[in-house]
This record gives sequence, C-alpha cells and structure tokens, in this order.
Amino acid sequence: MSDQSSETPERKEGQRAPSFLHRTDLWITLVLLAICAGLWYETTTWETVPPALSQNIPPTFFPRVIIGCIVVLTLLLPFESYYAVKQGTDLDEDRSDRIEPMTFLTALGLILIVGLSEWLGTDLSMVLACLLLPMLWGERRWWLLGAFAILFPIAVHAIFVWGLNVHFLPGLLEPILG
Amino acid sequence: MEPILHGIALILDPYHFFLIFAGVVMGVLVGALPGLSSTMAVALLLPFTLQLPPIPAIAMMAALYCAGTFGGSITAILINTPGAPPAVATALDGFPLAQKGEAGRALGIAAVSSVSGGMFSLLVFIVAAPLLAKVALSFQPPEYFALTLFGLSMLASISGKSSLRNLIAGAFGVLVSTIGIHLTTGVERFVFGISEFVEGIHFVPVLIGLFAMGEMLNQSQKLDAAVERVSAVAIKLPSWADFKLIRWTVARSAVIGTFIGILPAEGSTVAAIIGYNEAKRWSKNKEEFGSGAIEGIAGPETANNAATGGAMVPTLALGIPGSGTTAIILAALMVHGFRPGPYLVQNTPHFVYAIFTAMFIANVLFLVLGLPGAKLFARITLIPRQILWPAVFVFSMIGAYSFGQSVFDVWVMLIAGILGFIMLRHGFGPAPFVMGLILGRLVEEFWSQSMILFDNNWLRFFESWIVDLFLVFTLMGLFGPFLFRQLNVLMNKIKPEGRVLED
Repeated sequence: MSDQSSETPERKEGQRAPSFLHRTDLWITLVLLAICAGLWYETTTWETVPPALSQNIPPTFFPRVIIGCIVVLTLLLPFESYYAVKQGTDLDEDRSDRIEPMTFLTALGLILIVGLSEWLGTDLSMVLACLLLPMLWGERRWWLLGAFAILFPIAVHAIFVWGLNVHFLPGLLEPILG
Repeated sequence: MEPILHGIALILDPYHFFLIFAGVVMGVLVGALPGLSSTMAVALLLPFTLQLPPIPAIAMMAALYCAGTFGGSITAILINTPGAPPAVATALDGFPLAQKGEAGRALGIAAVSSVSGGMFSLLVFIVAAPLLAKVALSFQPPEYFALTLFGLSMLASISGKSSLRNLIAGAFGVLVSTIGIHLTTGVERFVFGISEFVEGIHFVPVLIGLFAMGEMLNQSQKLDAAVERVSAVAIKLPSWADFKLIRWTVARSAVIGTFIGILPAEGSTVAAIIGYNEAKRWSKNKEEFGSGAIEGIAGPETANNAATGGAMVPTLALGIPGSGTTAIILAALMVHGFRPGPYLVQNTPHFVYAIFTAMFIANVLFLVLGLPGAKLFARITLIPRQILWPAVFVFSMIGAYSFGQSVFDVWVMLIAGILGFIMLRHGFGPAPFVMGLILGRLVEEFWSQSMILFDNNWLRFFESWIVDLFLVFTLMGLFGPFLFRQLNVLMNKIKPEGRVLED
C-alpha cells in the first residue's frame, strides 16, 4: 500500500503516506450520515396521503431517493482522499491551515449585526456594519471609517429606498423617519 | 431573421444600453479585484434587477459576466494577480511581458483576443439557437426530466478537485429544494415548524450567502496579504505583426473556448487553460512561453471569453447552467418568470437574441472602455480590504433583505454564507449546491408529470430516443471521468518502456 502511494510525484519529501481512512473526512461522513438519518426520520412524520390523491407518487418519495443517494455517496467520502493523493490531487490543501480567530470573530460580528438589525433598523445596521467590521479587521484611520460609515449607507439607502422602492426597517430611527 | 432584429431593437433602447454599460463597468471593476468574482457580482446584482423588466435585467447580468472575465486579465497582466480564476493562464505570459515594459501591448492583445473570442461564440449561438429550437419541439416532461437529470450529473465536473464532493453538495442542494409544500399533495416537507419554510427556501438569499459571505469569511484569513501598487502604462492596440502572429491562436482558441463553454458545467477557467496549452503546442516559439509570449496571452484570453458566450447556450436553450455564473443567470430568469429551456428559444426567440445582442455590445464596450481605462480599473485593487468586504456585506445584507423584504432572508443568507465557508474548506463547492437547488425543483416536477403520463410505469421512459440519449450522457457525466482515468492507467501499463524513459 505504501509502495503504491510513494509513486505519486506530487507528494513532498517527508510528507506522511496517506492513510486509507481519512480522519477528518470520517468525521464529516459521520456528521452527514447523522443529518441524513435525522432528515429520513423527519420524512416519517409527514402526513400520509392516499395513493389516489398523491397519484401514486407520495411526497416522501423524491426526498427519500435523494437522501439515499447522499448516504451512498457519503459512505465513499472517507476513502476518497487516499485515491485522490494517488492521482496527484491534495484534497487537504484548503483545510491544512487552522481557521484564524479573526474568521470566528468576523462570523460573530456578522451574526451580531443581523441579530440587531430588526431593533436597530436597516440604516443603523448598515452604519454598524461599516464601523464594526473595518475596525475588527484592523482599520484605524478614523477619517476613513467615519466617511465610510456615513456616506456608504446613505448611497445604499438612496439606491434601494429612493431608486428601487424597497422599504427599509426604521428600527430606532422610527421617530425620525416616521 | 425577424426575431434577431426584434431582439436587437429591444436592446438599442437608450435605458437598456445604459444598463449594459453599467454592467460592463461593474464587470471590469469586479473582475479586476482579486477575491471578488463575477459570479459573486452577478449574485449581488440579482436583487437590484428585480425591479427592472426581464430583458434589461438579464442583459445587464450577461454584460457583467462577459466584462468580468476580461477584467480579471488586467490585474493578471499588471500585478500578476488574476482578478478571476479564468485569468490565471493569462498571467503566465502577460506579467512577464509587462515586466519587460510592454504592459500596454499585453493589455491590448488581451482585450482584442477577448473580444474576438466573445464575438465568435455569439455568432455560433445565433446559428445554433434555431437548430436547438427545432429539437425542442419534441420535448415533453420525460425529455425534460432526462435533460435536467443530465444537468445534475454534470455537477460531478463543475468545479473543484472532487467529483464526489460536488455530487454530495449538489444532492444537498436538491434536498433543500424540496423544503416547503409538495405541489401534488399539499403536504409540508422539512418545515420543522418554521412558518417561513412553508413556501420553500428561495435561492436568491442562498446564493448571495454562498458566493459573497463564504468568500468574505475566506478573506478574513488573508488580512496580512500585501496590496500591490500599479504602475502607469500606456495601452496600445496590437501591431499588424502581432496580429499576424496571434491570428491562428485566436481562431483555434475561439473554437476551443466556445465548445468547452457549451459543454454543461465546464467553465471559462478550463477553457483558458486548454487555450493556453494549445497555443503553446502549436506555437513555433514554444521556448518564449512563460517569458512573455503574446500567443500565451491571446490563447487563454480568447478561449475564456469564448466560453462565456458558449456557456449561455445550454443555460438559455436547455436550462442547464454552463458555469456558476450562468447558474445565477438561470435563477434570475426563473425569478423573472421565464422557464429556461428549449421553449424559451422556441416561444421567445427575440428575448434570447436580445440577451446575445447585449453580450455583443458588452464585448465592444469593454474593448472601448478597457483600452483607455485599464490603468484606472487596475487601481481599484488599492481599495483596502477593510473597506471593500464590509461594503460587500452591506450589499449582501440589503440584497437578501430586499428580495422578500424580510429579515428571515438575511438570516438565510448569513447561515448559507457560514455553511458555504465550511463547505468550501472541505472541498464542497457552492456552485454544485446552487445548481442542485435550482434544478432540483425541476427534476421532481418533471418526474411527477412523467410518471402520471406513463401511469406509473417508469420503463416507458426508455421509449423516447431523446430520453435514452440524455440518460447515456448522464451515465457518461457520472462515470466518464473515472473510466477515462482507468483507461489512462491501462494505456500507461501497455507502454511500460515509455514510462521508464519518462521517469
């Protein structure tokens, strides 16, 4: 097994021989199978329809076929990396580095902005996004931040509200905007 | 001829022309920005176009798509940073030529080659569309089912490194498309007590999240990357000697690019790489490749732009997207009340010709704008990431919200973005998921209609030669890459001496 894999030209010196069962992909497989099991169970809770009404195609048929296909494909997943490496493709290339803490912070920032958007209103949410995200990503030129946080939301408001007649949530600005 | 003239007349309206112009400017700017793809830009543009009539809306998106492919070559040549994946091959010779002080010549060749490729593919479509419409006359639900199934099978090769992961992502997309009320029986499926799910999950917030937010989270990992400054260049059209040198490369790559674009699920990037390889293979100056050969710029640039026109053929005429961007254009067509496929060409040929006229104009416009404005467009890379990506988030948030004027859609967009980032990290591409989401509804609908038509006897599917043909294509789409690989291994075993010498 290891002899075969050592033939691949792409594998760098000192790099470990690929394992037949890829550990990360095994975890992904388990997660996907658990999701499929949950979704299959969900299909058993749907209303039953008489064959005459469903024209012999029950509502569960198509989703169950797709879940079945996903399960079959997913079962191949833990072994894919082994064969991919043999053919010179590194499936781990994009996930070899750890996710940066900044990515988690950014995701949290986005969740915070969307979570507050109904209370703040659309316009203030845009202002918050234009202040919070650049600051989070290290922007400290206050004049630039100020100009961006004021002018950009105004421009977006003009395009969508005045140009495209989209109704923005007033939120905290309701006393002013009416 | 009449539908062609009607289509041209529709596009020559000044307002429509202005929107195409805006689409071209946006496309070149977005194409020039590394990280921002034309796919993402078309996704973000979709909510804007909801207020527009269908023809200018789709024309604007198509113009952005064409121009975005060219825009990527500007930064590829000037700063060795391809703004979009199809421009990767252009950088191989474009940047070395720019380093020799001939950036203007490189940009000129890229622009002229792009336009030639784009124009050629559009001419091919004008010839091919009526032929497809003739075939379309015999299409019934079983044929549509087989065709859509074929489209889904092509997910295996749409993008990324893993066909298996593409298929899994696509299948999940199909599964998400079943959320909501089942049309035949009225049963609620996968609603989980959430009232917003009853009407199903719309693909607009999902695709904005997958393409824009997923990439934003990806960019948050690259904040340390330096931004390169752009030097001033004088852009010039290729000389007669340059024309003579690249003419056959352009002709060859135009054919290659159009053909690859027409193949469902193959994109501009594949076309560009093959265009580059073929340019090198046929060149008399092979040794110059990699150090500034103008054929090395003309080959990929012609091919990638020819592929954009080619990719619109299966999208409009068969309802099967030729790439991630055309998947979004397909979604936009559906949002605007059209059903892409053979009947689109048959019943509204003027609409199809209007879109291709818009792409034709876009090709001319990006030549007119690109030559004098390339330096200016390239300077957009100087916008700090800390400002650019929050702006993308704001557009995504407002775009998702404005679609149904609902905060729920913004949550859908955000969750899709976070899932998209995780999926991409593990090799599950967003494009197959979106294609599954779009085509999934159609597959189930056509399957149900066919089974009712056949009185539940699925063997009757095989009575139609069109169905049989598409089923063979489907099997080839699913197992073809594997079989070709095995064939390759077998061929290598047959010629062991050759391998030893090579090794």
